[in-house]
Amino acid sequence: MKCPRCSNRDPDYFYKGSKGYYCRKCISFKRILIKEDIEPTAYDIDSDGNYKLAFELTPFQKEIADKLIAAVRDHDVLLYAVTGAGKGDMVIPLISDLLKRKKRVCYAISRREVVIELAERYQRAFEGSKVIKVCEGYTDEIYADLIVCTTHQLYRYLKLFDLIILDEVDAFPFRGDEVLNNIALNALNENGRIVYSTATIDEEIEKLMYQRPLKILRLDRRPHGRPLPRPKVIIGIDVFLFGILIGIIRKESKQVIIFVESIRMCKRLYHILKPFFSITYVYSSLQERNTNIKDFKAGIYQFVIATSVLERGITIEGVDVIIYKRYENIFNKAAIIQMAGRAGRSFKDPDGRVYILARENDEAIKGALKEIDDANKVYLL
Amino acid sequence: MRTRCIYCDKRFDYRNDLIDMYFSDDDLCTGCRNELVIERDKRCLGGMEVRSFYRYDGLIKDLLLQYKECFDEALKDVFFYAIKDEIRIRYHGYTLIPCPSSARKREKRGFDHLIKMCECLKMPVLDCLYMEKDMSQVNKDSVERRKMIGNIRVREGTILPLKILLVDDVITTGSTLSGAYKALKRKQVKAMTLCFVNKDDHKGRFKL
Repeated sequence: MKCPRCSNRDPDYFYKGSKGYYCRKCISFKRILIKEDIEPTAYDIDSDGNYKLAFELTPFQKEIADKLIAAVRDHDVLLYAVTGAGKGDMVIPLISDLLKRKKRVCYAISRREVVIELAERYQRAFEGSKVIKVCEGYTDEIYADLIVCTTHQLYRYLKLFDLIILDEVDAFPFRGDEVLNNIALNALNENGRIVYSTATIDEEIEKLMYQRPLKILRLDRRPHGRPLPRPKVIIGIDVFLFGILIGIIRKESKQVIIFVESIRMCKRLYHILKPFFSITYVYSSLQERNTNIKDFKAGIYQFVIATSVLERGITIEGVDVIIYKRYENIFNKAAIIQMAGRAGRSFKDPDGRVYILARENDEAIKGALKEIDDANKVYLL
Repeated sequence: MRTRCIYCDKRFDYRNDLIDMYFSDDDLCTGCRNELVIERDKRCLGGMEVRSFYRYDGLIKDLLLQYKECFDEALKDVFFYAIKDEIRIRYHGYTLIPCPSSARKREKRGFDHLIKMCECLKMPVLDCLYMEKDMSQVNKDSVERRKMIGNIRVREGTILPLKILLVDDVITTGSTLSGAYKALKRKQVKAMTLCFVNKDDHKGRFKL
Protein backbone atom coordinates (compact mmCIF):
# COMPACT_ATOMS: atom_id res chain seq x y z
CA MET A 1 0.00 0.00 0.00
CA LYS A 2 1.11 3.51 -0.71
CA CYS A 3 -0.48 6.78 0.26
CA PRO A 4 -1.27 8.78 -2.87
CA ARG A 5 -0.51 12.04 -1.11
CA CYS A 6 2.52 11.51 1.14
CA SER A 7 3.95 8.32 -0.45
CA ASN A 8 4.02 6.62 2.94
CA ARG A 9 4.54 2.84 2.84
CA ASP A 10 4.90 2.12 6.56
CA PRO A 11 2.07 -0.31 7.50
CA ASP A 12 1.94 1.14 11.04
CA TYR A 13 0.32 4.26 9.67
CA PHE A 14 -2.55 2.66 7.77
CA TYR A 15 -5.88 2.31 9.53
CA LYS A 16 -8.99 0.55 8.31
CA GLY A 17 -11.97 2.81 8.71
CA SER A 18 -15.57 2.52 7.55
CA LYS A 19 -14.71 3.62 4.04
CA GLY A 20 -11.55 1.53 3.67
CA TYR A 21 -7.87 1.97 4.45
CA TYR A 22 -6.50 5.45 4.89
CA CYS A 23 -3.12 6.97 5.73
CA ARG A 24 -2.65 8.46 9.17
CA LYS A 25 0.73 9.99 8.54
CA CYS A 26 -0.72 12.93 6.66
CA ILE A 27 -4.06 12.91 8.47
CA SER A 28 -3.77 16.56 9.49
CA PHE A 29 -4.47 17.39 5.84
CA LYS A 30 -7.81 15.54 5.96
CA ARG A 31 -8.39 11.84 5.35
CA ILE A 32 -7.30 10.42 2.03
CA LEU A 33 -8.31 6.87 1.13
CA ILE A 34 -5.76 4.57 -0.42
CA LYS A 35 -8.09 3.50 -3.21
CA GLU A 36 -9.35 7.01 -3.86
CA ASP A 37 -8.84 8.04 -7.47
CA ILE A 38 -7.72 11.61 -7.60
CA GLU A 39 -8.23 13.40 -10.82
CA PRO A 40 -6.28 16.61 -11.03
CA THR A 41 -8.49 19.63 -11.51
CA ALA A 42 -7.26 20.97 -14.78
CA TYR A 43 -7.34 24.72 -15.04
CA ASP A 44 -6.28 26.85 -17.96
CA ILE A 45 -3.60 29.47 -17.96
CA ASP A 46 -4.95 32.74 -19.23
CA SER A 47 -1.80 34.82 -19.22
CA ASP A 48 0.68 36.26 -21.70
CA GLY A 49 3.55 35.76 -19.26
CA ASN A 50 4.99 39.22 -19.77
CA TYR A 51 6.65 40.78 -16.79
CA LYS A 52 7.85 44.22 -15.82
CA LEU A 53 10.42 44.87 -13.11
CA ALA A 54 10.89 48.13 -11.25
CA PHE A 55 14.67 47.67 -11.59
CA GLU A 56 17.04 45.80 -13.88
CA LEU A 57 18.54 42.50 -12.86
CA THR A 58 22.33 42.68 -12.40
CA PRO A 59 24.50 40.74 -14.90
CA PHE A 60 25.15 38.02 -12.34
CA GLN A 61 21.46 37.62 -11.58
CA LYS A 62 20.69 37.55 -15.30
CA GLU A 63 23.27 34.84 -15.84
CA ILE A 64 21.75 32.70 -13.10
CA ALA A 65 18.24 33.36 -14.41
CA ASP A 66 19.24 32.19 -17.92
CA LYS A 67 20.94 29.12 -16.50
CA LEU A 68 17.81 28.36 -14.51
CA ILE A 69 15.58 28.40 -17.58
CA ALA A 70 17.96 26.07 -19.41
CA ALA A 71 18.48 23.73 -16.46
CA VAL A 72 14.81 23.31 -15.58
CA ARG A 73 14.08 21.72 -18.97
CA ASP A 74 15.78 18.49 -17.98
CA HIS A 75 16.75 18.67 -14.29
CA ASP A 76 15.55 19.70 -10.92
CA VAL A 77 17.52 22.63 -9.59
CA LEU A 78 18.92 23.70 -6.23
CA LEU A 79 19.41 27.46 -6.22
CA TYR A 80 21.97 28.23 -3.56
CA ALA A 81 22.38 31.95 -3.06
CA VAL A 82 23.32 34.15 -0.11
CA THR A 83 20.60 35.99 1.81
CA GLY A 84 19.51 39.11 -0.01
CA ALA A 85 20.87 37.92 -3.36
CA GLY A 86 17.42 38.41 -4.86
CA LYS A 87 16.26 34.81 -5.21
CA GLY A 88 12.69 36.02 -5.48
CA ASP A 89 13.53 38.22 -8.48
CA MET A 90 15.81 35.76 -10.23
CA VAL A 91 13.01 33.25 -10.74
CA ILE A 92 10.72 35.81 -12.41
CA PRO A 93 12.15 35.19 -15.95
CA LEU A 94 11.71 31.46 -15.36
CA ILE A 95 8.09 31.87 -14.30
CA SER A 96 7.46 34.10 -17.29
CA ASP A 97 9.00 31.52 -19.63
CA LEU A 98 6.69 28.79 -18.31
CA LEU A 99 3.59 30.97 -18.34
CA LYS A 100 4.27 31.78 -21.98
CA ARG A 101 4.28 28.07 -22.70
CA LYS A 102 0.95 27.79 -20.78
CA LYS A 103 2.39 25.66 -17.99
CA ARG A 104 1.20 25.67 -14.41
CA VAL A 105 3.54 27.24 -11.90
CA CYS A 106 3.47 27.44 -8.12
CA TYR A 107 5.70 29.29 -5.69
CA ALA A 108 5.71 27.69 -2.23
CA ILE A 109 7.36 28.96 0.92
CA SER A 110 7.04 28.07 4.59
CA ARG A 111 5.98 31.38 6.12
CA ARG A 112 2.56 32.95 5.79
CA GLU A 113 3.85 36.53 6.11
CA VAL A 114 6.21 35.98 3.21
CA VAL A 115 3.45 34.51 1.06
CA ILE A 116 1.38 37.67 1.48
CA GLU A 117 4.34 39.92 0.68
CA LEU A 118 5.51 37.88 -2.31
CA ALA A 119 2.07 37.60 -3.86
CA GLU A 120 1.78 41.38 -3.92
CA ARG A 121 5.28 41.70 -5.36
CA TYR A 122 4.60 39.21 -8.15
CA GLN A 123 1.24 40.79 -8.94
CA ARG A 124 3.12 44.06 -9.55
CA ALA A 125 5.63 42.26 -11.77
CA PHE A 126 3.08 40.21 -13.76
CA GLU A 127 0.44 42.81 -14.51
CA GLY A 128 -1.32 40.82 -17.22
CA SER A 129 -1.63 37.67 -15.12
CA LYS A 130 -3.64 36.75 -12.11
CA VAL A 131 -1.56 36.05 -9.01
CA ILE A 132 -3.23 34.66 -5.89
CA LYS A 133 -2.04 33.88 -2.42
CA VAL A 134 -3.15 30.64 -0.80
CA CYS A 135 -2.50 30.44 2.92
CA GLU A 136 -4.34 30.50 6.21
CA GLY A 137 -7.18 32.97 5.81
CA TYR A 138 -6.98 33.12 2.01
CA THR A 139 -8.33 29.81 0.76
CA ASP A 140 -11.51 30.73 -1.11
CA GLU A 141 -9.81 30.87 -4.46
CA ILE A 142 -7.15 28.29 -5.19
CA TYR A 143 -6.62 28.32 -8.95
CA ALA A 144 -4.99 31.10 -10.94
CA ASP A 145 -2.18 31.74 -13.41
CA LEU A 146 0.44 31.96 -10.70
CA ILE A 147 -0.14 30.51 -7.26
CA VAL A 148 1.88 31.66 -4.26
CA CYS A 149 1.22 29.43 -1.27
CA THR A 150 2.58 28.04 1.95
CA THR A 151 4.17 24.58 1.74
CA HIS A 152 1.28 23.15 3.76
CA GLN A 153 -1.29 24.22 1.19
CA LEU A 154 0.32 22.10 -1.55
CA TYR A 155 -1.86 19.20 -0.43
CA ARG A 156 -4.73 20.79 -2.35
CA TYR A 157 -3.00 20.27 -5.68
CA LEU A 158 -2.35 16.64 -6.49
CA LYS A 159 -0.47 15.87 -9.71
CA LEU A 160 -1.02 19.30 -11.12
CA PHE A 161 2.02 21.52 -11.52
CA ASP A 162 4.69 21.64 -14.18
CA LEU A 163 6.95 23.65 -11.91
CA ILE A 164 7.12 24.22 -8.18
CA ILE A 165 9.56 26.71 -6.76
CA LEU A 166 10.20 25.76 -3.14
CA ASP A 167 11.79 28.64 -1.32
CA GLU A 168 13.57 28.50 2.04
CA VAL A 169 13.79 24.73 2.17
CA ASP A 170 16.15 25.04 5.14
CA ALA A 171 13.43 26.54 7.31
CA PHE A 172 11.02 25.04 9.78
CA PRO A 173 8.57 23.37 9.11
CA PHE A 174 9.72 22.13 5.70
CA ARG A 175 13.26 21.21 6.75
CA GLY A 176 13.50 17.51 7.49
CA ASP A 177 9.75 16.96 7.21
CA GLU A 178 9.21 13.86 5.12
CA VAL A 179 5.46 14.39 4.75
CA LEU A 180 5.70 17.95 3.43
CA ASN A 181 8.48 16.97 1.07
CA ASN A 182 6.48 14.09 -0.38
CA ILE A 183 3.37 16.24 -0.66
CA ALA A 184 5.41 18.71 -2.70
CA LEU A 185 6.69 15.94 -4.95
CA ASN A 186 3.19 14.55 -5.42
CA ALA A 187 1.89 17.96 -6.43
CA LEU A 188 4.04 17.71 -9.55
CA ASN A 189 2.70 16.08 -12.67
CA GLU A 190 4.63 13.48 -14.65
CA ASN A 191 7.04 15.87 -16.32
CA GLY A 192 7.04 18.35 -13.47
CA ARG A 193 10.21 19.99 -12.23
CA ILE A 194 11.05 21.39 -8.86
CA VAL A 195 13.35 24.27 -7.95
CA TYR A 196 14.64 24.33 -4.38
CA SER A 197 16.03 27.59 -3.19
CA THR A 198 18.03 28.11 -0.03
CA ALA A 199 20.73 30.18 1.63
CA THR A 200 22.28 27.46 3.76
CA ILE A 201 23.08 23.86 2.94
CA ASP A 202 23.08 21.19 5.63
CA GLU A 203 22.63 17.45 5.85
CA GLU A 204 18.83 17.63 5.51
CA ILE A 205 19.14 19.41 2.19
CA GLU A 206 21.83 17.00 1.06
CA LYS A 207 19.18 14.31 1.49
CA LEU A 208 17.03 16.06 -1.11
CA MET A 209 19.85 15.68 -3.60
CA TYR A 210 19.62 11.90 -3.45
CA GLN A 211 15.88 11.84 -4.21
CA ARG A 212 16.00 13.12 -7.76
CA PRO A 213 18.88 14.31 -9.92
CA LEU A 214 19.66 17.90 -8.98
CA LYS A 215 21.67 20.64 -10.59
CA ILE A 216 23.17 23.22 -8.26
CA LEU A 217 23.37 26.89 -9.18
CA ARG A 218 25.32 29.11 -6.82
CA LEU A 219 25.41 32.88 -6.37
CA ASP A 220 27.61 34.45 -3.72
CA ARG A 221 26.95 38.12 -4.02
CA ARG A 222 24.15 40.53 -3.42
CA PRO A 223 22.84 42.71 -6.26
CA HIS A 224 24.54 45.84 -4.93
CA GLY A 225 27.88 44.01 -4.90
CA ARG A 226 28.74 44.57 -1.25
CA PRO A 227 29.73 41.65 0.99
CA LEU A 228 27.36 40.27 3.61
CA PRO A 229 27.52 42.18 6.87
CA ARG A 230 29.68 40.28 9.35
CA PRO A 231 28.03 40.00 12.79
CA LYS A 232 29.80 41.46 15.80
CA VAL A 233 29.63 38.99 18.65
CA ILE A 234 29.39 40.23 22.24
CA ILE A 235 29.61 37.64 25.01
CA GLY A 236 28.55 38.25 28.58
CA ILE A 237 26.14 37.60 31.41
CA ASP A 238 22.48 38.62 31.14
CA VAL A 239 22.65 41.95 32.96
CA PHE A 240 25.66 43.02 30.94
CA LEU A 241 23.99 42.01 27.67
CA PHE A 242 20.89 43.99 28.56
CA GLY A 243 23.05 47.03 29.25
CA ILE A 244 24.79 46.61 25.90
CA LEU A 245 21.42 46.26 24.18
CA ILE A 246 20.21 49.55 25.67
CA GLY A 247 23.52 51.16 24.74
CA ILE A 248 23.24 50.06 21.12
CA ILE A 249 19.66 51.14 20.60
CA ARG A 250 20.23 54.52 22.24
CA LYS A 251 22.92 55.33 19.68
CA GLU A 252 20.99 53.97 16.70
CA SER A 253 19.57 56.31 14.13
CA LYS A 254 18.39 53.58 11.75
CA GLN A 255 15.55 51.11 12.15
CA VAL A 256 16.48 48.01 14.13
CA ILE A 257 15.06 44.49 14.35
CA ILE A 258 15.75 42.83 17.69
CA PHE A 259 15.43 39.05 17.50
CA VAL A 260 14.63 37.19 20.70
CA GLU A 261 14.12 33.49 21.32
CA SER A 262 10.75 33.18 22.99
CA ILE A 263 7.34 34.85 22.96
CA ARG A 264 7.66 35.43 26.69
CA MET A 265 10.94 37.25 26.24
CA CYS A 266 9.43 39.24 23.38
CA LYS A 267 6.54 40.49 25.51
CA ARG A 268 8.74 41.20 28.51
CA LEU A 269 11.31 43.21 26.61
CA TYR A 270 8.55 45.13 24.86
CA HIS A 271 6.96 46.18 28.12
CA ILE A 272 10.32 47.24 29.59
CA LEU A 273 11.40 49.30 26.59
CA LYS A 274 8.01 50.70 25.54
CA PRO A 275 8.06 53.86 27.74
CA PHE A 276 11.47 54.96 26.47
CA PHE A 277 11.64 54.07 22.77
CA SER A 278 9.31 54.05 19.78
CA ILE A 279 8.98 50.29 19.68
CA THR A 280 6.61 47.54 18.59
CA TYR A 281 6.61 43.77 18.70
CA VAL A 282 5.72 40.75 16.56
CA TYR A 283 5.25 37.09 17.30
CA SER A 284 3.36 34.33 15.53
CA SER A 285 0.26 34.16 17.72
CA LEU A 286 -0.16 37.94 18.06
CA GLN A 287 -3.40 39.04 16.43
CA GLU A 288 -2.24 42.46 15.26
CA ARG A 289 1.05 41.16 13.88
CA ASN A 290 0.29 42.14 10.30
CA THR A 291 -0.49 45.74 11.25
CA ASN A 292 2.61 45.87 13.44
CA ILE A 293 4.81 44.74 10.57
CA LYS A 294 3.13 47.22 8.24
CA ASP A 295 3.63 50.06 10.72
CA PHE A 296 7.27 49.18 11.16
CA LYS A 297 7.81 49.11 7.41
CA ALA A 298 6.11 52.47 7.08
CA GLY A 299 8.59 53.86 9.60
CA ILE A 300 6.14 54.65 12.38
CA TYR A 301 8.26 52.71 14.85
CA GLN A 302 12.04 52.71 15.01
CA PHE A 303 12.45 49.33 16.70
CA VAL A 304 10.71 46.01 16.47
CA ILE A 305 11.16 43.05 18.79
CA ALA A 306 10.50 39.84 16.92
CA THR A 307 10.67 36.11 17.40
CA SER A 308 11.71 34.02 14.42
CA VAL A 309 8.61 35.09 12.42
CA LEU A 310 10.64 37.86 10.77
CA GLU A 311 13.61 35.58 10.30
CA ARG A 312 13.15 34.78 6.64
CA GLY A 313 12.06 36.13 3.32
CA ILE A 314 11.12 39.57 4.52
CA THR A 315 12.80 42.62 3.04
CA ILE A 316 12.81 45.80 5.08
CA GLU A 317 15.04 48.49 3.69
CA GLY A 318 18.00 49.79 5.65
CA VAL A 319 17.72 47.99 8.96
CA ASP A 320 20.25 46.91 11.53
CA VAL A 321 19.87 43.63 13.35
CA ILE A 322 20.43 42.65 16.97
CA ILE A 323 20.23 38.95 17.83
CA TYR A 324 19.66 38.41 21.52
CA LYS A 325 20.65 34.78 22.08
CA ARG A 326 20.40 33.33 25.55
CA TYR A 327 20.03 29.60 25.10
CA GLU A 328 22.05 27.16 23.10
CA ASN A 329 19.57 25.22 21.03
CA ILE A 330 16.90 27.65 19.81
CA PHE A 331 18.69 29.75 17.19
CA ASN A 332 20.70 27.36 15.04
CA LYS A 333 23.27 28.16 12.38
CA ALA A 334 20.80 28.62 9.54
CA ALA A 335 18.60 30.89 11.65
CA ILE A 336 21.51 33.15 12.58
CA ILE A 337 22.63 33.42 8.95
CA GLN A 338 19.09 34.29 7.90
CA MET A 339 18.58 36.85 10.64
CA ALA A 340 21.92 38.49 9.90
CA GLY A 341 20.86 38.51 6.27
CA ARG A 342 18.03 40.96 7.02
CA ALA A 343 20.60 43.76 7.27
CA GLY A 344 21.99 45.69 4.34
CA ARG A 345 19.60 44.52 1.64
CA SER A 346 18.79 47.81 -0.06
CA PHE A 347 20.75 49.67 -2.70
CA LYS A 348 20.59 52.96 -0.79
CA ASP A 349 22.06 51.52 2.36
CA PRO A 350 24.06 48.38 1.57
CA ASP A 351 26.05 48.30 4.81
CA GLY A 352 24.01 47.06 7.69
CA ARG A 353 25.27 46.29 11.14
CA VAL A 354 24.58 43.03 12.92
CA TYR A 355 25.18 42.35 16.60
CA ILE A 356 24.92 39.00 18.31
CA LEU A 357 24.50 39.24 22.07
CA ALA A 358 25.04 35.81 23.57
CA ARG A 359 25.89 34.04 26.78
CA GLU A 360 28.59 32.00 25.14
CA ASN A 361 30.28 31.64 21.80
CA ASP A 362 28.76 28.32 20.81
CA GLU A 363 28.85 26.13 17.71
CA ALA A 364 25.90 27.81 16.01
CA ILE A 365 27.50 31.26 16.15
CA LYS A 366 30.90 29.96 15.06
CA GLY A 367 29.35 28.01 12.17
CA ALA A 368 27.31 30.99 11.02
CA LEU A 369 30.32 33.32 11.10
CA LYS A 370 32.38 30.81 9.15
CA GLU A 371 29.73 30.46 6.48
CA ILE A 372 29.32 34.22 6.10
CA ASP A 373 33.11 34.61 5.86
CA ASP A 374 33.28 31.86 3.24
CA ALA A 375 30.63 33.51 1.10
CA ASN A 376 32.43 36.85 1.38
CA LYS A 377 35.76 35.23 0.45
CA VAL A 378 34.33 33.75 -2.75
CA TYR A 379 33.02 37.17 -3.56
CA LEU A 380 36.49 38.73 -3.10
CA LEU A 381 38.06 36.23 -5.50
CA MET B 1 1.03 -4.29 20.54
CA ARG B 2 0.76 -0.55 20.48
CA THR B 3 3.96 1.03 19.25
CA ARG B 4 3.22 4.71 18.73
CA CYS B 5 1.01 7.34 20.33
CA ILE B 6 -1.98 7.76 18.09
CA TYR B 7 -1.86 11.55 18.26
CA CYS B 8 1.71 12.81 18.73
CA ASP B 9 3.32 9.87 16.92
CA LYS B 10 5.97 9.38 19.60
CA ARG B 11 7.19 5.84 20.23
CA PHE B 12 6.02 4.36 23.52
CA ASP B 13 8.74 4.08 26.09
CA TYR B 14 8.25 0.82 27.97
CA ARG B 15 11.66 0.72 29.62
CA ASN B 16 10.46 1.33 33.15
CA ASP B 17 6.81 0.38 32.99
CA LEU B 18 6.04 -3.28 32.37
CA ILE B 19 2.49 -2.95 33.72
CA ASP B 20 1.84 -0.29 31.14
CA MET B 21 3.25 -2.54 28.45
CA TYR B 22 1.07 -5.56 29.20
CA PHE B 23 -2.16 -4.23 30.67
CA SER B 24 -2.82 -0.76 29.33
CA ASP B 25 -4.59 -0.35 26.02
CA ASP B 26 -4.67 3.41 25.90
CA ASP B 27 -3.90 4.73 22.44
CA LEU B 28 -2.48 7.99 23.76
CA CYS B 29 0.95 8.29 25.34
CA THR B 30 1.27 9.42 28.94
CA GLY B 31 2.28 12.91 27.90
CA CYS B 32 -0.80 13.46 25.76
CA ARG B 33 -3.08 11.78 28.29
CA ASN B 34 -1.85 14.11 31.03
CA GLU B 35 -2.57 17.10 28.84
CA LEU B 36 -6.25 16.12 28.68
CA VAL B 37 -7.35 17.71 31.94
CA ILE B 38 -10.34 15.98 33.51
CA GLU B 39 -12.60 18.61 35.02
CA ARG B 40 -16.04 17.40 36.00
CA ASP B 41 -18.90 19.84 35.73
CA LYS B 42 -22.64 19.52 36.25
CA ARG B 43 -25.20 21.92 34.89
CA CYS B 44 -28.93 22.09 34.58
CA LEU B 45 -30.57 22.55 31.21
CA GLY B 46 -34.34 22.97 31.27
CA GLY B 47 -34.79 20.38 34.03
CA MET B 48 -32.26 17.95 32.62
CA GLU B 49 -28.99 17.16 34.34
CA VAL B 50 -25.96 17.54 32.06
CA ARG B 51 -22.52 16.32 33.05
CA SER B 52 -19.26 17.16 31.34
CA PHE B 53 -15.86 15.60 31.89
CA TYR B 54 -13.13 17.63 30.23
CA ARG B 55 -11.96 21.21 30.23
CA TYR B 56 -12.43 22.61 26.74
CA ASP B 57 -8.97 23.77 25.74
CA GLY B 58 -5.77 22.68 24.09
CA LEU B 59 -5.56 19.04 23.26
CA ILE B 60 -9.23 18.08 23.39
CA LYS B 61 -9.98 20.78 20.83
CA ASP B 62 -7.30 19.45 18.50
CA LEU B 63 -8.38 15.86 18.98
CA LEU B 64 -12.01 16.65 18.23
CA LEU B 65 -11.01 18.67 15.18
CA GLN B 66 -8.89 15.84 13.83
CA TYR B 67 -11.62 13.29 14.57
CA LYS B 68 -14.57 15.22 13.20
CA GLU B 69 -13.16 17.44 10.48
CA CYS B 70 -10.20 15.40 9.23
CA PHE B 71 -12.28 12.20 9.50
CA ASP B 72 -9.67 10.36 11.55
CA GLU B 73 -11.67 7.37 12.70
CA ALA B 74 -8.75 5.85 14.61
CA LEU B 75 -9.24 8.36 17.43
CA LYS B 76 -12.66 6.98 18.36
CA ASP B 77 -11.66 5.32 21.65
CA VAL B 78 -9.48 8.11 22.94
CA PHE B 79 -12.20 10.36 24.31
CA PHE B 80 -14.01 8.06 26.74
CA TYR B 81 -11.02 5.91 27.66
CA ALA B 82 -10.11 7.59 30.96
CA ILE B 83 -13.73 7.99 32.15
CA LYS B 84 -15.10 4.72 30.84
CA ASP B 85 -15.60 2.99 34.19
CA GLU B 86 -17.04 6.06 35.84
CA ILE B 87 -19.70 6.39 33.15
CA ARG B 88 -20.55 2.70 33.21
CA ILE B 89 -21.13 2.80 36.96
CA ARG B 90 -22.90 6.14 37.15
CA TYR B 91 -25.26 5.43 34.28
CA HIS B 92 -25.83 1.73 34.88
CA GLY B 93 -29.00 0.59 33.13
CA TYR B 94 -29.25 3.60 30.88
CA THR B 95 -29.52 3.50 27.12
CA LEU B 96 -27.33 5.91 25.18
CA ILE B 97 -29.01 8.08 22.57
CA PRO B 98 -26.53 10.12 20.52
CA CYS B 99 -27.59 13.60 19.44
CA PRO B 100 -28.18 13.76 15.69
CA SER B 101 -25.54 15.18 13.38
CA SER B 102 -25.91 16.57 9.91
CA ALA B 103 -26.71 13.76 7.44
CA ARG B 104 -24.59 15.32 4.74
CA LYS B 105 -21.56 15.33 6.97
CA ARG B 106 -22.19 11.81 8.17
CA GLU B 107 -22.25 10.59 4.61
CA LYS B 108 -19.01 12.40 3.85
CA ARG B 109 -17.32 10.94 6.91
CA GLY B 110 -18.64 7.45 6.35
CA PHE B 111 -19.35 6.99 10.06
CA ASP B 112 -21.38 8.58 12.83
CA HIS B 113 -18.81 10.09 15.14
CA LEU B 114 -20.88 9.83 18.34
CA ILE B 115 -21.89 6.19 17.84
CA LYS B 116 -18.26 5.25 17.12
CA MET B 117 -17.18 7.11 20.24
CA CYS B 118 -19.73 5.29 22.41
CA GLU B 119 -18.67 1.85 21.17
CA CYS B 120 -15.89 1.56 23.73
CA LEU B 121 -18.35 2.11 26.61
CA LYS B 122 -20.06 -1.23 25.83
CA MET B 123 -23.49 0.15 26.75
CA PRO B 124 -26.66 -0.20 24.66
CA VAL B 125 -26.90 2.51 22.00
CA LEU B 126 -30.13 3.55 20.28
CA ASP B 127 -29.82 5.77 17.25
CA CYS B 128 -33.35 7.12 16.98
CA LEU B 129 -33.07 10.89 16.53
CA TYR B 130 -32.83 12.73 13.23
CA MET B 131 -32.92 16.28 11.96
CA GLU B 132 -35.96 17.30 9.98
CA LYS B 133 -34.01 19.92 8.07
CA ASP B 134 -30.34 19.20 7.52
CA MET B 135 -28.37 21.81 9.41
CA SER B 136 -24.72 22.28 10.20
CA GLN B 137 -23.87 24.41 13.21
CA VAL B 138 -20.35 25.32 12.23
CA ASN B 139 -19.71 29.07 12.36
CA LYS B 140 -23.28 29.91 13.35
CA ASP B 141 -24.28 32.37 16.03
CA SER B 142 -26.59 31.58 18.94
CA VAL B 143 -29.76 32.85 17.20
CA GLU B 144 -29.23 30.48 14.27
CA ARG B 145 -28.31 27.63 16.55
CA ARG B 146 -31.53 28.04 18.50
CA LYS B 147 -33.50 27.06 15.38
CA MET B 148 -32.26 23.56 16.12
CA ILE B 149 -34.65 23.23 19.06
CA GLY B 150 -37.70 22.55 16.91
CA ASN B 151 -35.77 20.66 14.27
CA ILE B 152 -35.18 17.30 15.95
CA ARG B 153 -37.59 14.37 15.63
CA VAL B 154 -37.78 10.78 16.89
CA ARG B 155 -37.94 8.09 14.22
CA GLU B 156 -41.41 6.63 13.89
CA GLY B 157 -41.99 3.25 15.47
CA THR B 158 -39.20 3.61 18.01
CA ILE B 159 -39.87 2.14 21.43
CA LEU B 160 -38.06 4.38 23.86
CA PRO B 161 -36.41 2.80 26.89
CA LEU B 162 -37.15 4.01 30.42
CA LYS B 163 -33.74 5.40 31.29
CA ILE B 164 -32.29 7.61 28.62
CA LEU B 165 -28.83 9.16 28.47
CA LEU B 166 -28.32 11.73 25.73
CA VAL B 167 -24.74 11.99 24.45
CA ASP B 168 -23.10 14.92 22.71
CA ASP B 169 -19.46 15.79 22.13
CA VAL B 170 -19.36 19.54 22.71
CA ILE B 171 -22.09 21.83 24.03
CA THR B 172 -22.01 25.48 23.07
CA THR B 173 -25.50 26.89 23.49
CA GLY B 174 -27.31 23.67 24.39
CA SER B 175 -29.77 23.99 21.49
CA THR B 176 -29.28 20.51 20.09
CA LEU B 177 -29.58 18.97 23.52
CA SER B 178 -32.75 20.82 24.46
CA GLY B 179 -34.17 20.02 21.03
CA ALA B 180 -33.53 16.34 21.62
CA TYR B 181 -35.02 16.58 25.11
CA LYS B 182 -38.14 18.18 23.73
CA ALA B 183 -38.48 15.57 21.01
CA LEU B 184 -38.16 12.64 23.41
CA LYS B 185 -41.05 13.97 25.58
CA ARG B 186 -39.79 12.10 28.62
CA LYS B 187 -38.97 13.37 32.07
CA GLN B 188 -36.35 10.85 33.10
CA VAL B 189 -33.64 11.95 30.72
CA LYS B 190 -30.04 12.69 31.64
CA ALA B 191 -27.29 13.90 29.40
CA MET B 192 -23.54 13.77 29.22
CA THR B 193 -21.00 15.56 27.09
CA LEU B 194 -17.25 15.72 26.74
CA CYS B 195 -17.04 19.42 27.49
CA PHE B 196 -18.87 22.73 27.71
CA VAL B 197 -17.54 25.52 25.57
CA ASN B 198 -18.78 28.59 27.43
CA LYS B 199 -17.97 29.39 31.02
CA ASP B 200 -20.41 28.94 33.86
CA ASP B 201 -22.60 31.96 34.55
CA HIS B 202 -22.46 31.57 38.36
CA LYS B 203 -25.87 29.96 38.61
CA GLY B 204 -24.80 26.80 36.87
CA ARG B 205 -27.37 27.36 34.15
CA PHE B 206 -27.35 28.09 30.49
CA LYS B 207 -28.98 31.25 29.30
CA LEU B 208 -31.80 29.95 27.18
